[in-house]
Amino acid sequence: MSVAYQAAEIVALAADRQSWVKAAGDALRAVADTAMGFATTVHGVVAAPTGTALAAYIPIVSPDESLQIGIVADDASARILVRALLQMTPTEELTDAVIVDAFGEVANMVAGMTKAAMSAWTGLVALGLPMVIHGWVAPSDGVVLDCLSARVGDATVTVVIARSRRSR
Amino acid sequence: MILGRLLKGAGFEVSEACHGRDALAQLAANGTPDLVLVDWNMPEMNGLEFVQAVRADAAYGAMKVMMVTTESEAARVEIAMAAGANEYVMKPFTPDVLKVKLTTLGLAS
Repeated sequence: MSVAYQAAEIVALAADRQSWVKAAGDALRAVADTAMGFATTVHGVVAAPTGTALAAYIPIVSPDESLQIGIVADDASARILVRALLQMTPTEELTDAVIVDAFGEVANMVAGMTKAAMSAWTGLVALGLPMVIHGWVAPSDGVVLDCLSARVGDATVTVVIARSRRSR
Repeated sequence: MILGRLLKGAGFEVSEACHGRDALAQLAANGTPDLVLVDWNMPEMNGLEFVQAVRADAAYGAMKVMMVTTESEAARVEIAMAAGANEYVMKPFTPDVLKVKLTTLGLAS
């Protein structure tokens, strides 16, 4: 009886993790289509990105969950996303401040749609504010990481779902 | 930023604030605009707190307020509208959606 219970718990955990990944991928597709007019191909779960990149993270918290939804892209891809989001012409000047602000907004929208899709599973959850960083932040041992590779228009994007192991 | 570009392109004069408290300061300093578009999630003072603040002040009674946010749960919409928001737009949105909302508020044709 005890063993059967543990097996059921493991299945439930696996399904939950897959649900977050699916919700994040669906959210990226919807944001790319609606806000940027880009078609998106989600390639699937990949290893964590390395090297220099632009990354924007949004915290999502609830009584049962503590996680970050992140968008990671190299400089060229980030510029593609930002220009599309802001409907900028190819010759219009794109400053670092604008890139950071708009890239954070992309992550905000993806996290918001992910949260909405998962709210039925997780109960009431709240979005935090974007944190945009240059470079990859390596997770500690206490973090479960899922990275989803996707092509958004001509941009290559990684969606990161980082969850605390203490969360269900 | 996205909204500012869209609205400027539509002929509106636009001022941007960093958060609700900054927006209140701008209202006090610059007078009442036709419309304030406000996100739910902001530092210092969030969008709901901003709506509650302006709706508690009769000086801003005629000012329209539109929430534009990723918070898409029905309960959030109800809370914002009950607090006094005039319209609610969920991100991501298309420019057409924004135009419809502006038309509904009598600010575009």
